[in-house]
Amino acid sequence: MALIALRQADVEFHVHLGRQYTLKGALASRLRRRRDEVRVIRALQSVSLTIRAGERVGLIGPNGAGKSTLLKTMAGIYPPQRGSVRVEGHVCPLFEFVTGFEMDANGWENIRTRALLLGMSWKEIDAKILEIADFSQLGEFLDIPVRCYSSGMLLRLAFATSTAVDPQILLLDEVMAAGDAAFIETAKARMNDLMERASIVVFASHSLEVLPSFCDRTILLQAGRVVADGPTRDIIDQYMAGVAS
Amino acid sequence: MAPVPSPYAIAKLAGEGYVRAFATLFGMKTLTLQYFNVFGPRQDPESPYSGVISRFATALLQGRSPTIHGDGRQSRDFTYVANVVDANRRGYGPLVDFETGCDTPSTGTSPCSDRYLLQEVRVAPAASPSGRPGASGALPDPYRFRRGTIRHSDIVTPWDLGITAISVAAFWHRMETTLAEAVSPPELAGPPASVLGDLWRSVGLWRVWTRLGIQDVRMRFRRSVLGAGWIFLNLAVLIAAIGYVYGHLLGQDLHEFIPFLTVGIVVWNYLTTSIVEGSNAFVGSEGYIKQISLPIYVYVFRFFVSIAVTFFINLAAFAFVAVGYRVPFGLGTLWAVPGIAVLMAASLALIIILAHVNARYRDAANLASIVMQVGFYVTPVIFPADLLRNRGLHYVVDLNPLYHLLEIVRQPLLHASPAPFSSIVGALLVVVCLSALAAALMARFGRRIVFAL
Repeated sequence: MALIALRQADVEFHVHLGRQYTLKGALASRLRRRRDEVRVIRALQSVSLTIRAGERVGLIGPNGAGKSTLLKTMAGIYPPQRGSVRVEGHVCPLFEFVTGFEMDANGWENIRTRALLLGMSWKEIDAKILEIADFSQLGEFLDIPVRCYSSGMLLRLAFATSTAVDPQILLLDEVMAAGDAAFIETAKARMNDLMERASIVVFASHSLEVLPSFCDRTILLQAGRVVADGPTRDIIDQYMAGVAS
Repeated sequence: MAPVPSPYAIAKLAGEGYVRAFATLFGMKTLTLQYFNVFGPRQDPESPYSGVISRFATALLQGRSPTIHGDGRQSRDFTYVANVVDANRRGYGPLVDFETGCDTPSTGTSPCSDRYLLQEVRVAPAASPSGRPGASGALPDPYRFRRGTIRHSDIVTPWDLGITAISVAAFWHRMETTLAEAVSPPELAGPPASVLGDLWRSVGLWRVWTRLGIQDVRMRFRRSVLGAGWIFLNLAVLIAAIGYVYGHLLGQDLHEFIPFLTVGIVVWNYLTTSIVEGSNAFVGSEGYIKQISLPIYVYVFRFFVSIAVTFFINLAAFAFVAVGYRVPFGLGTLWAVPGIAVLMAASLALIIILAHVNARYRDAANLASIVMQVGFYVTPVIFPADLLRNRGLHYVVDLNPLYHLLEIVRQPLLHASPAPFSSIVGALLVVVCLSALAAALMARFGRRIVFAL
């Protein structure tokens, strides 16, 4: 059974403000007795929530509320400093499609690399690679190194590959950014299909119109805390009331 | 009004009747507020009138299971004290200024409304409740709430209690999560984040990183016209040039010197690439690390594989040289196997060390390659160790950890005999030290690497 359970999870970022990101710099400032200035950003504060199989959950909140951090914590990318995170089931995170390419490798190799990292087996990749290539509509561009791709082409490649997996838990962070109009249409259909297949979907979004159709439950984040958690309509109303006042 | 089947409620209703009567008889302005059970800060949990919230909270704080009567599905409505204050204040109008204890405007959703109590409650799970409460089954639906009513006998003003209702709902939600947390089955709490767990999971994903590592090597070949031949050619040119010049310079017999040089360069390159490319294991994988939920050591192993595969291809080149120059071959050559294993362990440790340090200090790779460059000139790679020993510079050789790593592979491959005991011990010592450093770095920074990227 798929499950996501956070218990009083805190995630903090420690940002070094000085020049201490090089050994030489660190040594120099140590000699000059300059203290390393560290700013702590508390991105998630005591977040507790349980998401069970079958749930479609939306995440809303202003910029910097911690939506992406929460998704990445669920994905196991950010370990919490305090508290616990328990995730059961195969997780497929779809966050941003602009990073994570082997720039010197061609399209085919990038499909394989990404698919492997997303948890597909070599056999599964063999079975799906033609379909992925087909969906990407990249044709013979797949034979050239991806460093020659436009950003739209990179997006198609990443999208086609990432959406070919069979995830139990799907984590979405407002994808669908670039791509031409025709691609967006097919992308939407494929995304819906993917969301149907997943057991749990968590969806961070700014578009409040889309949420109610996807998610029965929505979590409102503010300054790294869960402020409200309930039926999507109610939470959106509360959010809008907060924005208005 | 609906008939009320409760003596208690009838008594309350009678109060309203009196109020109404006074209003009609004497023209008095009156107002009736019907609260739900009031809860909030400074509520006395010992009081017999105290509600379920403070009782639950007290029980949890003391590490006891709260007793829930019934099947746990029934719900009850509450009003937060700040909302009561707010409602009263609105009812009285601006005539009376209430001291609420909350420094908030009178909007009803005071930010301190549910936090005050909850911060006390939230300590409860750590106090490890001894068991589950008497009731099993779901907690009441936190989103269903009844609206409180405020009735006016005289003044008719529209009362908007929407905001208040929501703050109660939000409170209930948090109360529910807190209770759920306190009494939730222990398996819902995740395991503590651990480096060992990450490492273990990474090892389990060996299919992924071997595939990726091999693919990396293939990709490198694809880029050159000669493919894998490029490695051979590269090596051949290097060996020919250095062999010709230094062989004569140092007065060496080329039949011995060329194989010697080949092993030396191959092993040296292996160590150097472990440092230079290995330092990129995390920094170069940032795009994946921040996007894909795999334990980070997968990327370390990926680099380990691709560097090792290149090393083995180089070793194959040595096989050609060995055949060409009739290097002795026998059972003793097998000593190279444990030697190579130790060397690979050193390579893995170096990759882990550099990957961690370079994630934090981005010039670590640079500094390390400078160190290796210096090492190249002082280590017997392109000159025999005896040349130094004969001139009384024993310590330059014997104290050089890199020399011992070289020797445990070079000696068996060139002379079909084990390396001297001192080199075996030296090499093992080096690997132990490097592994200890790698383990220390992993324990210290392993889980935090993603924050440094």
